[in-house]
Order: sequence, then C-alpha cells, then structure tokens
Amino acid sequence: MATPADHIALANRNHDALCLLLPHAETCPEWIATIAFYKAVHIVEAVFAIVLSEHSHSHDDRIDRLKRPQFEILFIDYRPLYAASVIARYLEDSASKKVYDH
Amino acid sequence: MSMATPSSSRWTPDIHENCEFVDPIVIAYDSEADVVTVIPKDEARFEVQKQRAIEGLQRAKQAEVFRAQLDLLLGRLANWSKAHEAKVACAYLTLRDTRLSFVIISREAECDDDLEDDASRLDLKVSSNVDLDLIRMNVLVLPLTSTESLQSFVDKRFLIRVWPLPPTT
Repeated sequence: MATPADHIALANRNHDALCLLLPHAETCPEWIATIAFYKAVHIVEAVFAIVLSEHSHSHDDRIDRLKRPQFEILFIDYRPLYAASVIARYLEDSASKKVYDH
Repeated sequence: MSMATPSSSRWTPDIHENCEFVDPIVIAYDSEADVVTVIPKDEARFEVQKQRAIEGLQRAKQAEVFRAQLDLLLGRLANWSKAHEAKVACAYLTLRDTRLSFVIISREAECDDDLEDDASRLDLKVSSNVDLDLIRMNVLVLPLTSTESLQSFVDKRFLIRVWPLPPTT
C-alpha cells in the first residue's frame, strides 16, 4: 500500500506537470484539468491513508468516503475538480469539434 | 475552481429553452401539505424506467422502498432546482455507471463557483439523508452547451427531466 508520503510525492509530480502545461493552457486545457484532478486524488488518498489507513478502490468509492461528515470540507473542493476533469475529457461539440477550456 | 468556457467566443449553444433533447420523461410535483407527490406525464414509461433504474442499481430486493425514495428524491431535486432557477437552465436525473446522476445544466458556459458549491452541498445533503439511504447519487454541473454534446452525460434508459417543470394546465 502506498504511504502518505508516496501520494504526496505523486501529487507534487502532478503539480510540476501543471506548472509546465499552464503556460500552454490554450492548447491542452483538458489535460490541465485532468492533471489538476489527479493531484487532488493523491492528496485525498494521502489523507485517507493517514486518517483511515485505507485506500479507495475507485472514483465512486473515493467520492463515497469524501461524503462522510469528517471529510465534507474536502468534498466541497474535490467534487468540482472531478467534474471539471470529466467535462474536459468528454464534453465536446462533435459538430464543431470544440472542447471546453478549464 | 477555474473557468469553463467554450474555446470560441463566437460559439453559440443550441440548447432549447425547454431542453427536450432526448425525450426525457417529464414530471410535475404537488407539494401541498408538505407531502411531495410526483406526477409523471407518461406514467407507463416512468414505471418502466424506474424498474430499469432499480435493476441497474441492483436494489431489486428493496424495490418498493427504493421507489418511494426515488419519488422523495425527485421532489427534493425539483425544489433545489426551483430555488436555483436563475442559474439552472434545466436538470435531469439519469444513470451514470453504478450511480444515479443529477445533471444540472447551467445557464452559463463559464463555471459558476457558487453554483458548484451549492451543488456540492446538495450532494452531501442527499447522501446524509437517512430517508434516502438506498439512493447513491452524484451531482454534475455542466456548462450550457449544445444538445448533442450533452448526450454523452445522460442514459436514455433512465432519464427524467427534473427542471423546468411542465407548464400547469
């Protein structure tokens, strides 16, 4: 099982990738949203590892845990990031091939 | 939360005011005397889709309770949508993977942080409601976009239009 430090290290790698991509936000907005989301995933998993000594098995499982009263404050910030990554990857106007920026 | 905007500033969504994009079931609500009653316009289709939802969500053993909770949920979602009608163009309850999905379509293409926060609180409220303990639902706010683009976020096998309510006759 990955340790909290492992998750924080992965979150930091995602953060480094974000720093590289942000100057080119016009060309890859969907990946910026996705990497930002996965940075959040690793931070949440680090919290779970510390507080629960558990890891999530899926996105739905992670969301269910975040809805517990003790993690609600995290859920408020996490849910829009999850939504942004879903929208960035799947919402496209197929007629015009336009995607959404995040 | 960063902004969500269409790539082209000239781009115009083609969503219609009545949001009738994939033949959803339309329901009305009667909330007199603090009892919310769901009134499907097409009862037969409503029951068929409900049954599909129950099977899809693997709640068949508790089907009757699930049916009652689904009606209660629809009333709650309609009330929330009405309270946010200035920002919500339309809203649907559908299926996504192993969960119900409350898909809120914003009136704006840009992300509204306040709407996102309110949607998160609604999500938490439904999740913690002991009267909705069989309901597994996530909330998703989509920007105003073309009807075609929205198709990938709804499941036609179970699709109920929660908002706007049909005109009263």
